[in-house]
Amino acid sequence: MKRGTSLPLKLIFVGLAFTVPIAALLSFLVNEKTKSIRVAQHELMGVEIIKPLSQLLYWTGQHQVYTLAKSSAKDQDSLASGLASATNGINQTLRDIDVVYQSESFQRFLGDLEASGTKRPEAPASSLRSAWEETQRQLAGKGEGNSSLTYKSLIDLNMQAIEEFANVSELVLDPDLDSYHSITVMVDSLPAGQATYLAMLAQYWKAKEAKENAQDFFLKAHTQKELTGFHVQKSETGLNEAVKADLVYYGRNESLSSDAPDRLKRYQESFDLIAREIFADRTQSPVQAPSTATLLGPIDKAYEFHKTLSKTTEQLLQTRIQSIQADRTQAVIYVLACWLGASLLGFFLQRSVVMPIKKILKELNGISSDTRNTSSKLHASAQRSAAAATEEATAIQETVAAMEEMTSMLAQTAIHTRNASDVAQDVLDKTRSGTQTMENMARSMDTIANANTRLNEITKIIEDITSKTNVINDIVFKTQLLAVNASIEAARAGHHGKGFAVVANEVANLANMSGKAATDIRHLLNESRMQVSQILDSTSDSVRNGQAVCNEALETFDTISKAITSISEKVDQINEATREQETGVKQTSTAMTNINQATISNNEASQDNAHMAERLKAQAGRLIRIGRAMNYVVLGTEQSQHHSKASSSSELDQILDNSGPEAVHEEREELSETDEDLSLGKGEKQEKQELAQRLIKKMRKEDDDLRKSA
Amino acid sequence: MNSFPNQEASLDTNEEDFHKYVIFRLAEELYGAALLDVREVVERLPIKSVPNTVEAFEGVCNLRGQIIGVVDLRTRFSLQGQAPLRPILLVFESDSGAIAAQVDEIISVAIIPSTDIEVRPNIVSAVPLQYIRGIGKYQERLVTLIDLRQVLSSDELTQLDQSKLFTKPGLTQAI
Repeated sequence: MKRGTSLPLKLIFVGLAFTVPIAALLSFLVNEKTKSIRVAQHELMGVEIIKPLSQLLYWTGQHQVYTLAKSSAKDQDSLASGLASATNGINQTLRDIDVVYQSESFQRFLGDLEASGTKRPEAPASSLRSAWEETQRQLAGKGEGNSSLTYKSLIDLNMQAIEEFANVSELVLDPDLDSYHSITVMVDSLPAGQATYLAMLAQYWKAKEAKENAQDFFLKAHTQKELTGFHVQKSETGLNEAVKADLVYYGRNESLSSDAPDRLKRYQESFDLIAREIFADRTQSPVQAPSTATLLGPIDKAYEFHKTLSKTTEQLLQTRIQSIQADRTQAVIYVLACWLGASLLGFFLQRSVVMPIKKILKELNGISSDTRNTSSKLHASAQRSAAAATEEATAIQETVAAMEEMTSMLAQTAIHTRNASDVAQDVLDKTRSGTQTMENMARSMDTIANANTRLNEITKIIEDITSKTNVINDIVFKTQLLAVNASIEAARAGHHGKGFAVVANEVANLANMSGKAATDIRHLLNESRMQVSQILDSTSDSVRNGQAVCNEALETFDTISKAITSISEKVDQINEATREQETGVKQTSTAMTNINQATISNNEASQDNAHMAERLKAQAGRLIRIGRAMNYVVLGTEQSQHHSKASSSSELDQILDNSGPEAVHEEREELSETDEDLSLGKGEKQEKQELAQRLIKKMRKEDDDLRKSA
Repeated sequence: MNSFPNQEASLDTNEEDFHKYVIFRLAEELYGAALLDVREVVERLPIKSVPNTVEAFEGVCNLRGQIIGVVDLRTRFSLQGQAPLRPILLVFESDSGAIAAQVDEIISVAIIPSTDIEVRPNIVSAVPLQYIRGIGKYQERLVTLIDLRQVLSSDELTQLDQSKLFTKPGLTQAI
């Protein structure tokens, strides 16, 4: 069996063709978003490191102010404590920078930078610390004086570090980013303000030393103030941009939109305050130094502003990261959902198209193979029936012979039946004589019973005799008494009574003897009475049993005679049946001869049938080939061993014309041979129909023939 | 009252007649009484019982017009056993008139020679020794020979009466 590509598989390929670009789009989107998130994270880390750097600027400023003020101010104690706290603040901030720089997340950020090709910025703390130590050393050596120069290297380094981190975190370089503006403000404004302020202080000290140059000082201070104003303006523009962008994209960072401009304004105002203080005493000479608080004002304000900005920037960045993450997730979900929906739709579509076709194919295949099977079976059965018809004919002849044998057997049966009837009659006679004997016996039993009744009477007689014996006893008793009395009398009579005494004695003896005899008689009578009663008991029991047995035997004989009568009747019936069977067998024999003739014509019909079946088989083969071609188109499988080369639409034709025009021609020839009446030009269906009709007609005709012959 | 005096008969009596005994049965034992002492033997007659007499005194009966007292020897000798169906009365003449002894059965009249009699047997019997004349043999069986006249004598009866008088007054009057 060769496998092509089925329709469902083809449809799946189409689906894949759509799926691949979707997956590419998905990965592209996710990549883009992930990149954005990474950039935002970098910005965040930049802000993180810039925060302590700006704090360092703040503390440096304070330290400077206090150092400068030390020479002029009167309140030395507060100045000393301020100086100490500033020194502490610087040291602390340097440590903070170290901590932030060495933190795990910051190192990872630096690693990312290196991976993307950017140069890794050096650790700012060590260089700053050495600059700070250098500054302190200079201060200790010089004492008061031109201290603005002393801080220069420290501030420069700090500024450099800020800028470097801003650069590496792509904050300053990319103006498209929202945080750009705020960082710009910070990077620009803070050092600018500080520079302005330092410049002002320097001019002041110069003016103080050379009073005649006050005019020059004012000019320079004014210039410095204008410069500062420019920086502040620039910062303001940047800030406004940031606020706008924030409003457009996120609209929820309130501190940036409301708080920051306010603080910026205050920052600018602090410069104005210094200027006012300086310019207010323009007329005075020498020029008064501005108070420490005034000097510290801009630094504080600038730092506050920066703090706000950096905090807001952080918030901004985090919000942005979250938003991008949400976007990414949403995008993934959307794309996946669309893909899944499309896939499902495709799947059901292919199911709805392919399933019915599959079903039809299955049925077609089933039907065509069924047809082939049926036709081959039909062919075989037709051949079988032809053979069977021949066999039938011989069988019928055998049957006729068997019938004749049966007739003779029946005659024998009749003889046996008659014998059985005679035997039954014999048994019946014997049963009757047995019944008579039993009746006689019953009569004898009755006689015995009567004898018993008489024996009973004998018992009564014995009893009578017994009572009579009592009389004898009485007589004996009295005789004895008489004898004694006679003896007494004889004794009294003396000699005269001698003879009488003898007589008396004899009488006594006789009395004794008769007494003994009477006793014996009584014993005998008792014995005979007991024996009689015993005889009575035993005989009456046996007589009763005998009577019961007799009755039973009589009943049994009665039943036997009845049974035998019924047997005789049955035998008569068998006789009758046998006679009827004889006539039946004769009729069957004639019928068999007729059937024989019918079988011969049946045989001819069967041979015709075999030819028809052959044709049907060929047609079924063609039907199967059509089904196979359909299979190849729809399922991509060809269920046959031959034609293994089929692989394209041209092979379909090959499959269809499997047997070729020659085979078809052969079939046609067969048809014309078997059935000349059928026209070759007609369609196959018509052929079949006609064939079937012809068959039916023929069969009917045969049936009629059979009936007639029967 | 005494119609058959003993003395007259004894004068003219054969030697043999003195050795004749009436042998009778009481319970299981045989007893003998001298034939010449007995007046007659009769079947037991209807007896009318007399109140306040000794227990052995059955009562009185009418023998051919003569009233005779009846003593039951079974009771007299305190013998056990069933009473006989047809008891016999041995009638004797005594000083106070005729009296009858009731026995179970008369066996016969037999001659027992003196040689066959043991006069003083050393025995213990239901019959007081004073009434026993001896033990004789009759047909290989031992027969206790008793003096019935003495047993039935009125003295004996009186003695008995007297012994009962204290408890049963009026006995003597009735007899």
